[in-house]
Amino acid sequence: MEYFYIENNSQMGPLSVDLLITQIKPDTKVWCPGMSDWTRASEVPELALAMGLDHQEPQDLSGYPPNVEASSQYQGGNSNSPEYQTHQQQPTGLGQNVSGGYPAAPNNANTYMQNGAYNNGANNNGMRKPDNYLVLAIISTVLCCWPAGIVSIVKAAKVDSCWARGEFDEARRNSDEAKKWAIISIVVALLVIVLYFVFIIFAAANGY
Amino acid sequence: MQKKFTILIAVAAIIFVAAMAFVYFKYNPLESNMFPKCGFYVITGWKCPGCGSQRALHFLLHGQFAESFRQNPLLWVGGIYIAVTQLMRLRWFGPRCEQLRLSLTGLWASVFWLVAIIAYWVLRNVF
Repeated sequence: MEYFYIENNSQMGPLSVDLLITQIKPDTKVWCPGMSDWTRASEVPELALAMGLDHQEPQDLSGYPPNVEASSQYQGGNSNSPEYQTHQQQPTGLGQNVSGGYPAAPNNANTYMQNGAYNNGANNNGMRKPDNYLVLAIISTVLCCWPAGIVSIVKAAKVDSCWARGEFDEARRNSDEAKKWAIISIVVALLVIVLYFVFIIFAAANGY
Repeated sequence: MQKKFTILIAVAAIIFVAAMAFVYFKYNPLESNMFPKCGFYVITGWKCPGCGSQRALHFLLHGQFAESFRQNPLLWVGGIYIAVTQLMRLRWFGPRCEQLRLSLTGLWASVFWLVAIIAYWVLRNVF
């Protein structure tokens, strides 16, 4: 599910949940098809969950869109018009365009790839892709212990390939493994260094 | 308690990094015996992907970038890649940057680095 959001009075998006939560705050207004109006992210269950917030019930239960003063902030054409505009336009505040599934006038310049790294053929229910620890894996291979490091890089690759195939549990397992092997590599290198210094001190103490 | 512990660790890390920087600045791994050598090289005589990184650090601290690069080019390329991809996490750059970062650290990146590290490893021993 992809959401539009408001930043500096501009409509942005749509973004997948994973990308969205890196860009917004809990009180950022968001919208996706099916919602009656722009809502704070913290009041959208899926987003509150993804952002690790306690889900809050919406404050206004009157049944009417709340943003009477908000609509005066946005410029735009006829508020009842469902047509797409060619330039960027703010949502009208009286509900969204139902037919296209988009709020009024999405601007192509503000829309992003539909199929980013997290959006794939398999529906992932808004779950976050686990970190593949690639950076740590590279460091652990070049600077530490290459056997364990290479295993770590391979596991990191599998995180992405499994996730793309919809094998979410397997992806999570490979993520844990990638981290584990990177840490093993680093620990081995540290042990070698410690042993090396112990050896040197021992040799020096014995007059070698 | 948690905060004090974190601060302690941070201070220890800074001291450690400063000490390492000083040691690698003052002494040249090519001339001094105190630096640990690569176990793989000692046993097999072949260089591993990380060989030369201590020397590279020494030359970097002396501002000799060309010589530093020559000691271990992979380290430089990898280091720049890591620095840039971490910098791209800054929210200030926006969602487009985050999307680019994801593709730069995804499946193709893992495959690329696996191949690059192994290729570099073989080539630096052959030539």
